[in-house]
Amino acid sequence: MWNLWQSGFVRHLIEDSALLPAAVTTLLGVAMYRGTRNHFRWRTILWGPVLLAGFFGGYAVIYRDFSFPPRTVLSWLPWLAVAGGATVALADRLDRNYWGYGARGVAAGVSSFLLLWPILRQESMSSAFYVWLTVTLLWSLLWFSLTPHRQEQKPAGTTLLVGAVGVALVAPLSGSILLAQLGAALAVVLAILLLFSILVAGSRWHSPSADVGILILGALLVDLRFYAGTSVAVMTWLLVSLAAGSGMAGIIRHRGTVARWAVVAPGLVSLLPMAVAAWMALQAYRARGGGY
Amino acid sequence: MLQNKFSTALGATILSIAFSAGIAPSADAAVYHTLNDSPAGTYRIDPDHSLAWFTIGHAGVAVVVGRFDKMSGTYTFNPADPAADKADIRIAAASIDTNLALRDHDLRGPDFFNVKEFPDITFSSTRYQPTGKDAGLLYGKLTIHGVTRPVIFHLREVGAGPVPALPKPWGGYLSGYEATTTIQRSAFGMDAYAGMIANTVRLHVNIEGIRTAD
Repeated sequence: MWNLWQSGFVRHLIEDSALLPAAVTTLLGVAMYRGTRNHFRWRTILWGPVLLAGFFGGYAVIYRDFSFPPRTVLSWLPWLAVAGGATVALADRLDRNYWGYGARGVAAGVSSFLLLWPILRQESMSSAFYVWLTVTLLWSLLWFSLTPHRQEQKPAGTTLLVGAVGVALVAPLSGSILLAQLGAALAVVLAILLLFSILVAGSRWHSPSADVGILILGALLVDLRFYAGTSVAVMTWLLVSLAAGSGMAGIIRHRGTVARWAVVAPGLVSLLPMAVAAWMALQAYRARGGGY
Repeated sequence: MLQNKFSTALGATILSIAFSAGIAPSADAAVYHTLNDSPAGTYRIDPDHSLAWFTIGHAGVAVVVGRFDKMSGTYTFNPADPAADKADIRIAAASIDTNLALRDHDLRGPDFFNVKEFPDITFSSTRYQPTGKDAGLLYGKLTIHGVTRPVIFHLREVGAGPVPALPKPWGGYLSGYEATTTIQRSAFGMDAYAGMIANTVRLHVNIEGIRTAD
């Protein structure tokens, strides 16, 4: 293990994926906390921008591509997160519920279309439509259930944290250290933000805090399945993990529990299916002959 | 005795007929030699006898070799008019083979070639500058992983001329080249594992073409 840390290669991977995103998130989190001492209303909606900034800190050293128009599928990630987050935030400020749901559905549909376009264009019209519709529906349903209108989004944050850890574990076993690094960066940022917001008073997560996390995690999952070739079985368990977390959050919301453990519980419920996904990915990796 | 004489005479007759008909191998046909006829013409790349391969440093201790097995394209060469020379090559990125299936899977993924998004590696020449009788510099644009960069291939004509029975069955007029260049993979947006895999990649392209027009 010490030898691994001695390796500049491994050290750089860890520094890029964890240390820099953690540093950016911590600095911005502290600055935000101090800057909003007399403006609690702002504190609830600034988690989203801090999450974005922390993740982009990692993205900037891991993938380094902020080109526009985006050069690759993965280069869409920052633009989708910013545009999607802004759209959802604006829609949620309107009075009617359906604007919020509509914005999330449209963001999921547009995102899946853009991310899948290189694959869709090679398929027949009906097959492409089927793939796009399936991804859009799954993304939208998970999004609706994770962030119900005008509800605290922190429980969604713990579920997303487990999902991001899942990507970080599964991706290298599917042949992509790059996606693993991005998943790890998202997980580190979410972990620090959750720690902050659980410890700090007046720290409800309002839209678009978890929403940008859902956009980033969704994009990583699409990449994991369609470009890294992760099996349907492993992807299903990762989705089950997210669904289990959102289900638990729904139950807690219905019971009206406000204790701090209520924030952590959805993440705990998500852990088991995520572990199954990682175990299945490991078995598939071993079956292919292991490392090289 | 008579039977032996008859057998010898019959054998000699059969051999002389076979040689005169070109059925039996002649000493000349058994020796490999390079054809030095004119390479002028437009050619279609023969994918069965063409290959792109590369070498790249690994872990700071070794050089790894990989290859792309599927290639197509056309080229036109005319020693009398080098300004009109042209080469267009398309390589299927998914055909990468580094002698290890697991590594090939990873190389086809998002960290490197991302073949689902960028299925082709292409080269389109812009000009050819002869530097000798059978050699020259081929300037052009190389696109890998969706990024296009100018490159210069060092080109060597291996041979050209009519070849019986190739392509099968009746033969044709063939020519062949080998080209090499050096690129930096980071210039093409493929800089993953920088501490473990070298940035400098040596590319080799071996091409055999079938003439389609003079």
